[in-house]
Amino acid sequence: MRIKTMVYGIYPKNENLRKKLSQWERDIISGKEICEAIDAEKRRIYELFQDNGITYYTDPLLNWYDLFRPLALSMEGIELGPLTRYLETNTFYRKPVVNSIGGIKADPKDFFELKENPPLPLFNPDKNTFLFFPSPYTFFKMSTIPDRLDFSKFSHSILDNYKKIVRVFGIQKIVLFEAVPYVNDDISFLSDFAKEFSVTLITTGKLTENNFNKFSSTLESLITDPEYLDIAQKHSRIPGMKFIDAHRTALEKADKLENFENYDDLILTTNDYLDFLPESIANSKVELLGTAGV
Amino acid sequence: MFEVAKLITQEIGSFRKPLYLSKVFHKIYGTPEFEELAKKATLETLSIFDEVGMDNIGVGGEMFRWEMYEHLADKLSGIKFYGMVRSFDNRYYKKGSVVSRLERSRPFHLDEVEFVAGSSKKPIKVPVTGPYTMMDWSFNDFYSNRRELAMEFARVINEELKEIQNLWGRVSNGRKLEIQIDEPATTTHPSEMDLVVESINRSVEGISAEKSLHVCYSTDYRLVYDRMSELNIDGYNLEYANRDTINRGTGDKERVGYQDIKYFAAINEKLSTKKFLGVGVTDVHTDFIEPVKLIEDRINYALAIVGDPELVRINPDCGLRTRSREIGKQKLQNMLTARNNIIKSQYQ
Repeated sequence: MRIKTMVYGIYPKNENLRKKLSQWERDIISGKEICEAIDAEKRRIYELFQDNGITYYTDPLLNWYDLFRPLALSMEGIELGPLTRYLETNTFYRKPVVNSIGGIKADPKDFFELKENPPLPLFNPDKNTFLFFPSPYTFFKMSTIPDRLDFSKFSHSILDNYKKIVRVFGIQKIVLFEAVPYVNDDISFLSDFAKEFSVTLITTGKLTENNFNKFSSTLESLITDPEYLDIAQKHSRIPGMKFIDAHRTALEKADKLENFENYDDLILTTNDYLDFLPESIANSKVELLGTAGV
Repeated sequence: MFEVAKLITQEIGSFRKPLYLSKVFHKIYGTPEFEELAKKATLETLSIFDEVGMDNIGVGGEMFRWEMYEHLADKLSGIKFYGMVRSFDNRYYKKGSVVSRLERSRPFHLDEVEFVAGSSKKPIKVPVTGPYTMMDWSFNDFYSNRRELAMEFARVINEELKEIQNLWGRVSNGRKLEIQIDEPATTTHPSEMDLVVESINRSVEGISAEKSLHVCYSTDYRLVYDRMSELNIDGYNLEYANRDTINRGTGDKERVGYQDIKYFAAINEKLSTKKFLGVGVTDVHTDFIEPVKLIEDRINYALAIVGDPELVRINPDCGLRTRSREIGKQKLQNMLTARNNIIKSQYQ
């Protein structure tokens, strides 16, 4: 068995960056200065991932105030709604209010000041970085959407915009993150996107074969809770399993891995992005994840 | 028996700290200097509450506390802090990890209650963070499940409330003891409402006081209303203004944020002992000062549904520490003026 590891999504900030962001919010330092500080910290986190042997990682998204904010602010037709509890956590996000979905307002690769979020660029990738996006399904479920905009239209427009962003960065490896379970819905909306790009889909909660009935592609990786690993193996080149708990500070024990020796390749990752943990614990969990990789 | 008044005005809990206290709070916490500054800030806040004419002065804006979770967690052995966790944007709080059996190592609120009780003759309401919220906002690295942890928090909170009750016997000066259990997390896991009820009831076991429950920013208050007959709670102080429009009027369309009071009233109607409702009429997340007439509309709308003015109390949505002291005072002032106008026009 070859075990690979992945760290994805928003990573917790250290105290120094939190202080700098606070200064930026009070106009004590400029947008350019906070961008530089964020970029420098991202580089440090990339080194942390590399030093710990993490196989795959996304940008740590230190300038994303929540899972949707900089994307919502970069697209025509989407505004920020009220602060809303993020699922069952004690963390809040500004619920996107979608009126329509137009194009991208700003070059996501350049410096661009946003209201109520640190400036773009959307990502500061290094040569190994995957691009990270909330899946259109999660975006739809966690936004306010007018009746006239059904999921099919919504997901098509959002994925079109994601494609534009992907092309600007010239990176083909993409992580799509689902924060909400599919229930009875299918994932055919991702068929074309998964044909065009190398997509790692991180799911949440229960999965069944019905979710894949109309899906006409193969994912690079499908990451699931351990009990759905067979489905992940069937529908992706490399199955992935959520192994590290992003909602507990206790460190996991690596001996849990013994049950998964039948898989040729396996990606181990976290059951949510690590922003729900104190930074020191997130660092320890990254270290632990790194030791599980072979 | 205590006299019940109409449309009692009350604070929910926190008020912005003066800079001289907030700047050094953590640095001097627990020292005689801290005590001196916390008392000074409390007296200044009480004087603001007096000036605007608040009926119930809470505990003077919670000047002895930094934050509702950390204040308790910091006084419990069994909790370890590894660092800050994001609440929203660039706002963070210290989220503790429960790593061994919880025990109260120091009282949470006795010094504050004693000082406020000795500084004013007005009614006092003591806010205490509830067991379910303490559980939900902690990392659980020790107890076998969420229920066990919530009930353990309930046990230590109950110990604190019993000490406050004992203290109250000496400092009440004839006032009834009022305890507000703060449970913002109440409805975040709808499947755990049994645990909410069980843990809150355990926390107030053996406490002879007027007990209220504060919940805010819930996506569904009906989950709470549905359990009113089982909760050992006399009234509910809730946030509504944040979800309302700022348009004038007392119709359903203008008062969209207050719609579910109808649900509350329908259930309350069936209870043998009626519960009171503290209605949030001013939004603590915006500097917009709600005009007096808008607040009157909100009160009148709630009043028309609940009927009995002795069952309606008037408060901000939540603690006003999110706003500057000046804005906080103006919001309270308009709240009081609106209430007084209604009392004058309808009950005198």
